Amino acid sequence: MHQIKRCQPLLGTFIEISLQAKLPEKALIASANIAFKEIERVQQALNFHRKDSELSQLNMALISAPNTTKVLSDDLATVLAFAHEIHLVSAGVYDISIASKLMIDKHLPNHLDIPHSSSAAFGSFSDISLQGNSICSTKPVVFDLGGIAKGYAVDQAIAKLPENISGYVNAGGDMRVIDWKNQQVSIKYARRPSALKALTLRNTALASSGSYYQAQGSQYFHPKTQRYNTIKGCISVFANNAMQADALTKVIALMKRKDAKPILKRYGASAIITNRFGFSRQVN
Amino acid sequence: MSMLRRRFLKGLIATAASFALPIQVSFAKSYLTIEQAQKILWPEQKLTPAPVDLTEQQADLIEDLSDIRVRNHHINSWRSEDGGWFIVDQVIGKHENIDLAVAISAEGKVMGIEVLTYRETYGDQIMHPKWRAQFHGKDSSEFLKLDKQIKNISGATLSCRHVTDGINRLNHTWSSVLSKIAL
Repeated sequence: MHQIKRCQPLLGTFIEISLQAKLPEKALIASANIAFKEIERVQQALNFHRKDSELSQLNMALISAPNTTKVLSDDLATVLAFAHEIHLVSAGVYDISIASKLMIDKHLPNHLDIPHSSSAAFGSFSDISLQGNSICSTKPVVFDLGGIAKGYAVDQAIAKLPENISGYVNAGGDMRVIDWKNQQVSIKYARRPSALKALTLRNTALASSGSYYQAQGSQYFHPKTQRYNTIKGCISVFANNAMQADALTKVIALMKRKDAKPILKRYGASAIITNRFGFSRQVN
Repeated sequence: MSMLRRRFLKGLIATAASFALPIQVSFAKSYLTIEQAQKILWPEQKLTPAPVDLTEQQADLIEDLSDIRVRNHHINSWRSEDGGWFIVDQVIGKHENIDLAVAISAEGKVMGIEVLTYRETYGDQIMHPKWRAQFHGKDSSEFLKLDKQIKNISGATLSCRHVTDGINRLNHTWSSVLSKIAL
């Protein structure tokens, strides 16, 4: 049994790939290379922070000429369709078009040079019409796929691995574990290094979200109340894939428990909220 | 009443003291060894140790060009047969302290980056002498024994901006120093 554990800086965070199998180390390295390549490919399409990514090109087009129809790659179309679905299911609370607000408030870099006075000019996800691989909007919008892009990258990387390999891919809190049954993962719930709590996995994907690394404070912007929600601690969601798990952490962060529960149920997901003292409670 | 108050004060002092003590609890995650990273980043190439020491002027120049502090003047580097470089570098971020392996081609292109070890730091830990000592040694394995090894962690997204800055510094190190060293 060989094992290899690698970590590369990608998607604006650290991507860990750990693989094990009854294969020579060379084969594990080759498989990890394929998985990293796949994440790089997804980054090229979906990274908000890179000006040359397909997402940034789309954002620029959605600012300058929202009404004209744009054609999307399969990656971008898949992630946007899912973001749209969660937007509808959460009654508009989950909205990736809050990026314009986050840019104006300096939570995201303003590399698209949008004017600071223009927040009212931007629309929301409900101004979008998305059909298959084409998109257009009635108002200018900016998307940040943030976590769901990372989740999607993790899912795609896992899909590229051969069946006889076990292990996990972890992208800044969005994680997929292949043989997840009876495995434990430490949840980091506060800034101090000892703030770790072991949880037993309940599904193949686990996404955790918190704002303890954010010097500027909370980034959970609620589009309805126009306020930032504060989360002290960590929200962890177990789901069938990492993209869903990541989106659902934001649903829990922004919605009332009783409204979030049916959404979790719809996706066969469950959640654990750990406060900043390390006490956990379950939501599902 | 006075006993209650004394007990309360005792508790208060104990609590305050627990915060004030420089508790060196940290965690570390190790990934590849230097040898493994060499095999991954320069497969089928023989690497020869080629350490470089930057002069004060060179370090200043790199600092000016990259706008990033050059903490260590010693470059832990190897040379490939075709003139490329393999560099083991350290990056100190706000929350983290990372050993990196970077491959730079003979033309100055970054061919690959691998994180070797990741250590979570907290507050003034970086200022601690034991913590700093490791930057002068080539082998951090001894230090790692002090840390808690953690298998899997899921948490909030940590930005890799400091690594990006470190790579930028190495790019300028290559263009202003390494590119001028003959094979």
